[in-house]
Amino acid sequence: MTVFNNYFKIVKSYIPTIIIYTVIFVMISVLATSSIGNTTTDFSVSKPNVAIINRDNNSVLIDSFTEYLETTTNVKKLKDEEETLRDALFYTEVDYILIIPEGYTEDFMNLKNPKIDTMTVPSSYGAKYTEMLLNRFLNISNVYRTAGMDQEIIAKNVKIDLEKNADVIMMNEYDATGLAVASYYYNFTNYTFIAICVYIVGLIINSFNSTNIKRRNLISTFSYKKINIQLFAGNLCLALLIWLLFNIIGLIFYPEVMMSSHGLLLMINFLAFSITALSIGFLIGNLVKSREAMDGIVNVLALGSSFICGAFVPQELLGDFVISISKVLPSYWFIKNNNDIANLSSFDFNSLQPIFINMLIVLAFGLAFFVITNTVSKLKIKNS
Amino acid sequence: MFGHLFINRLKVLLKNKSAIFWTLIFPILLATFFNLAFANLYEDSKFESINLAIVNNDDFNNEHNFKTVIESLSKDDDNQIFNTKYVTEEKAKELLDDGKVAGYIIVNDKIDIVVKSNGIGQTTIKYVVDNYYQVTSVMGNIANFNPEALKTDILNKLNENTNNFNDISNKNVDATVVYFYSLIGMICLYGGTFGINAVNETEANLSKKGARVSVSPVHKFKMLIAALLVSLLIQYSEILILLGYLVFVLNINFGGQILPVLLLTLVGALAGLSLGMFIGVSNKKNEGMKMSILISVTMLLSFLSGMMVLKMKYIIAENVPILAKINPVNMVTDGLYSLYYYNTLDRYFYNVISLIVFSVIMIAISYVFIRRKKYDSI
Repeated sequence: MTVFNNYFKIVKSYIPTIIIYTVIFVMISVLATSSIGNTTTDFSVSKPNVAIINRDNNSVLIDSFTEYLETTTNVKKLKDEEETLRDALFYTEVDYILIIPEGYTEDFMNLKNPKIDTMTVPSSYGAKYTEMLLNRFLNISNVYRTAGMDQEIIAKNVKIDLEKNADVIMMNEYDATGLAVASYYYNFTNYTFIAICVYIVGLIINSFNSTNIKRRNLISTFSYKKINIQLFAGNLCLALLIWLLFNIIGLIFYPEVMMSSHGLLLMINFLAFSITALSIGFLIGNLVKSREAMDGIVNVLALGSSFICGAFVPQELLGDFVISISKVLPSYWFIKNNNDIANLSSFDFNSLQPIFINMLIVLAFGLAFFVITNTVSKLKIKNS
Repeated sequence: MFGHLFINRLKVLLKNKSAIFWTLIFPILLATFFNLAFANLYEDSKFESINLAIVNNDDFNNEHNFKTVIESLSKDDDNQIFNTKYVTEEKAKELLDDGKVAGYIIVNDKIDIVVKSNGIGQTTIKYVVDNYYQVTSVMGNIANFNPEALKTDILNKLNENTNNFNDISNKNVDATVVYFYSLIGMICLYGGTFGINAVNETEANLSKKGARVSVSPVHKFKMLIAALLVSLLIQYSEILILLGYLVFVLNINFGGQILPVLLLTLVGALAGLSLGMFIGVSNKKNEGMKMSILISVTMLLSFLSGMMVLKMKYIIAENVPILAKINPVNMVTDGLYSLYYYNTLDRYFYNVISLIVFSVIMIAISYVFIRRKKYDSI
C-alpha cells in the first residue's frame, strides 16, 4: 500500500489545481446541457423559432396571421435592425424571419399576390417546416379571398380550419425529452471528464516518473507491475470521486430521469467509460514527460474525440467517413450507448444486451490501454 | 544591449523544442478534427425524407383522398417527404419499437398517429394529417359561403407552391466557421503560457533563474520587454502557420480580407500574452499551477465563445452581454465573425479596440505588481 498511500499524498499537493479544473469543467457541462431545453412527457410538435417584423399597418388579416404563428411556432421578439436580425439567424436563434412589407394587407385583399420578405437559415429543417406552415395559412386565406370573403370572415374561417388537428398517441411512457437532455449531459462528459481525468491523472503519474524517483522506485523490492497496479488503484479512487460528482450534479438537475432505470444505466455506462478514460490518462501520464505536450494532448484528445464521436454534434449528423474513424475510439461507443439508453423502451434481456455489449467494448479499450501502459513501462525499464 | 537580450531569449525559447512543437501541432490537430466533424454536417442538415409506416387495413384503403395524399408524398422525386411502408399493425408497432420509423398512421373511424418521441419526423407526419383535415374543412366552408366557387379550380391554390415569399437572406453562410474562429481565439490565449514563462524567468521572487538575472546590471524592464517581445514573435508566428493551414489546406472562409485578420490575430496574441503575464505576476503559486489556471480559464472562455456549442456565443451575448464584452476569446471570435458575415468594419474595429484595451489593462495591473521591487535577500 506504500505506493497507494504516497499517491494520495501527491494528490493532496495538487488539490487547488484539481479543484479549479473540476469546477470549471463541471460548470461547462451544466451550462452546455442547460442550453438544450426543457422536458415534457406529452407529445409536442417541434416548434420552429420565428420572428415577425411587421412594416405594414395592423389589420385583421395580419392579426390572425400573427395569432396563427404564435400557436404553431415560437415567436421571438427581435428589433427591426439589420445586425440584430442577421446575428439571430446566424446563430439559429430563429430559423425564419418574416418581414411583412408596407401595404401587404391591401395588396393581399386585392389578390395581387404580394410577397413577404424572408430571411432563413439555409436548407435547415426549421426553415422548410416554417415555410410549409406559412404557406398553409396564406394559401387557405387566398382561396377564401378568391371565393369572395372579406377579412373578418377569412380570419374566422381560417381559425376554424386550423383548429382541425390529428390525434397523436404517444406510445412511450418515458420522458423522452428529459432522457435526451440527460443523455446529452452524459455525452458532454466525454469532453469534460476526459479533460479533468487525463489532465489530473497525467499530472500525478508524471511526478512518479521523474528520472530520479523512477530509478529509486525500480531498485526497490516492488516490481513495476505492482507499482502500476497500486498507482492505478489510486487513480481509480480519484476517478470514482469525480464520477460521483458528475452523477450527483446529474441527479440535482435531472432528478426524475436520473432516478429511473434509464438514469441508472446512464450512470453505469459512465462508470465503464470513466475506467477507460482513466486508463487513457494513465497511459499518457506514463508516455509524456513535458508539460506542454501534456496540455496539448489533453485538449486534442478531449476536444477532438468529442467532435468526431458526436458529443457536441449529434452522431446521426456526422458523415459516414467520420463515423468509421470514430469507431476506433472508446468515446464513440460510450456516446452511442448513451443515445441508445435514452431510446430504450423496455428492459428485457434482448433490449439490454446490446447496451451491455457496448459497455464491454468501452471497457475492452480500457483494458487494452492498461496493457499498453504496462508494456511501455517494461520497455522503458529495459532501455534505462 | 536590447538586441543581445532579445536574441538570447529567442534562443532559449527555441531550444525548448517540445513546447514549440506542441503549441504548434495541437491547434492544427484540433482544426483537423473540427474539419472532419463538420465536413458532412452542412450537407446533412438538408431535408431528408422521413420513415413512416401505414397500417394497411380496409379503412385506410377506403379513405381514397387520404391514400392519394400519402402516395403522392411518398413518390421518389424532389418533393418526397416520406419513405412509406404499408404493413400490418403488429409490424408497424415493431418498426416503431426498433426505431425504424418515426411513427405510424392507423386509420379507424379517424386518422391516428402513433409515435414514441417528439421530433422533426413526428411533427411532419402530424403536419400532413392536419393538412388533410384542414383541406376538408376549407372545402366545407367554401361550400357554405359560395358553392359556385367550388366549380372553378380554386382549390388547387391550396397545394400550389405559390410564391408567397421573397428570400432576401444571404445564402452562402456556413455557421461552422465560427468553431474555427473560436479555435483561433483559444490559441491566442494559449500564448499566455509564454507570458507566464517570461515573467517567471525574470522576476526574482518567482524562480531561481529570475533571482539570478535580477542581480545582473541590466534594467529589469528591458529584460522583461525583450522576453515578452520574443514570446509575441513566436506566438504570432505559430498563429500565422495555423491561419495558413486553415486557409490553404482546410479552405476555411475568412471573408476574403487578409490584412484585418492579421491585425486582429496580432492584438489577440497580445491579449493572450498580457493575460499570461498577469496570471504570472499576480500570485506566487508555482508555474504548473499558473499554467493550470490559464488553461482552465481559457477553456471556459472558449466555451462561452461557442467552441463546443455554437449557440452558446449567442446566448451569452443576449443574456449576459457584459461577459461577452470582457471575454478576449469572444472578441477574437466575434471580430473574425464580423469580417466574414458583415460588409462594414465597425463591429470588427470595436473588437480590435476591445482587445487592445484588455491588453493595456492586464499590462497595467501587472506593472503595479512588478514595479519598484527590491530584495535584500530572497
